Amino acid sequence: MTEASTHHIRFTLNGSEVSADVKANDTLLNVLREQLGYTGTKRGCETGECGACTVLVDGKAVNACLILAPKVDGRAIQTIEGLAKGAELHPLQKAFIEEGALQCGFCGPGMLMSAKALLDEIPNPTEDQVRRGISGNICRCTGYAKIVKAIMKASRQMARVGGEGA
Amino acid sequence: MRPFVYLSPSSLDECLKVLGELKDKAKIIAGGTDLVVNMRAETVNPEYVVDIERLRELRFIRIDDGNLRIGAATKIAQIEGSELVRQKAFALYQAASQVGAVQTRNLGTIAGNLASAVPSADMAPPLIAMDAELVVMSSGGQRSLKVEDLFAGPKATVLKPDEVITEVVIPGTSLNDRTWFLKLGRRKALTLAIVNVAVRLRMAEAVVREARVALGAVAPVPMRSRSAEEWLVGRPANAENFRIAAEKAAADSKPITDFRAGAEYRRKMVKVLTKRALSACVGEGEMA
Ligand SMILES: Cc1cc2nc3c(=O)[nH]c(=O)nc-3n(C[C@H](O)[C@H](O)[C@H](O)COP(=O)(O)OP(=O)(O)OC[C@H]3O[C@@H](n4cnc5c(N)ncnc54)[C@H](O)[C@@H]3O)c2cc1C
Ligand code: FES
Ligand code: FES
Repeated sequence: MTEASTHHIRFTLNGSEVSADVKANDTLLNVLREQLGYTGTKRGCETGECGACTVLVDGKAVNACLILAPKVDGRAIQTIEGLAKGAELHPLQKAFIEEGALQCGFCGPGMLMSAKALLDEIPNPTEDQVRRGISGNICRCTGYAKIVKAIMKASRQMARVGGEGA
Repeated sequence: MRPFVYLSPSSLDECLKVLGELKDKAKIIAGGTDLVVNMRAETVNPEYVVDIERLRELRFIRIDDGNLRIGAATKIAQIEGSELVRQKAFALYQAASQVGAVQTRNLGTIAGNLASAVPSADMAPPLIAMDAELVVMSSGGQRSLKVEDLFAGPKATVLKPDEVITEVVIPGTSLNDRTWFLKLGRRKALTLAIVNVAVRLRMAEAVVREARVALGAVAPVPMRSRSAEEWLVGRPANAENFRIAAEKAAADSKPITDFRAGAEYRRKMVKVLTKRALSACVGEGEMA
């Protein structure tokens, strides 16, 4: 039986340098949750279908459950823990609260990171673009309508304060 | 996921050398959206995993000698966002924009999609319809292979374990033709195709001079409907001929029943989608 290789990797996590010793057959999701204690990123299906584990790697929304840990050496990773600036919530988070866009909340971290990636790329999306942008994130509670509304609202608010909070 | 050794060669040359030494002990990984799922299910259990994701040599989209060349490790999201692809290979753009969801497209690559050899792989029909070829390299040399000839069966290719697809080449002769792709899934996003269809038509006046009809998810491998193509060539591009060609495509398909759809339904949908794709291709009646 082969032994897994181990790798000393460095990357930035929400802007801070981190390093970790990871096993080849570990995923980014495991490293975040089990090794680094960043449990905001959720574990759902682990097959790329639910989006609960969505994080940004070099600004792009991806499924952390499908990424082998050694692959993120040298990359920039953003998780839900980095969305708020200290005590100041991100406009997306505020809009989700104001619109009641979450119920159980399990899809929230992944949904918010997909929404962030979308607004980073398209600051003023149409409702269709929003729906496409979150089509990789499953919500079992809300029926999506309020989530879409919240993302539209956040995009308007961010436009008003001149791209602040991006 | 069983343990394995992860290798990340820093150049294509090094990658080919490593694969030449490890042979069938190794599996290539690009985006990992197929391989990681299979390794977690322990249906694929390599001793070595060789990463090509970050090889710059394998990531590009450009026109060269009139042909459209796409690096094997180019992300599906990049293909979706490429103005060049949209203008020169519209069906490939349409297919790219319908693979999985944003996250899947940000990870998955064009060659990973083909080499996974899943009968429903969305990149296959448009590339087959455009007569695309692959550049395949190993430490022993290089060969070219038609996309159409890549597949050996469900989840199997003709590639040897030490061979890497390095490029997908769409010949210039296809780039001025009209193409169209349609996918039927159980829902609008994040779904594998029940049936997918790509067509390419070259016209002179209103008569078809060259035709391709490529079908996915309705046979052990992505396939062409030769009888539909033969029917179209030399005939006027009209609704009646499209209807007959679509019937021939349905007859050529060899669908199975699985949890996504029944064989009869699939065959019916081949007819519907082929007819719609041909009409949309000539600008009559958009896709529904
Ligand atoms: C949630 C989800 C949804 C999906 N939806 C779709 C969909 O709608 N349509 C669709 O077509 N697919 C879909 N897929 C499948 C998959 O995402 C795509 O096929 C993707 O393009 C695979 O590319 P990859 O780079 O991730 O492949 P990897 O997983 O890295 O590799 C796949 C296979 O190809 C081999 N390989 C990779 N690159 C090369 C190369 N250059 N040369 C030789 N062999 C190589 C690998 O060894 C492996 O066997 C989905 C997957 C998931 C998880
Ligand atoms: S846990 Fe990663 S997509 Fe579901
Ligand atoms: S709020 Fe419960 S899954 Fe979305």
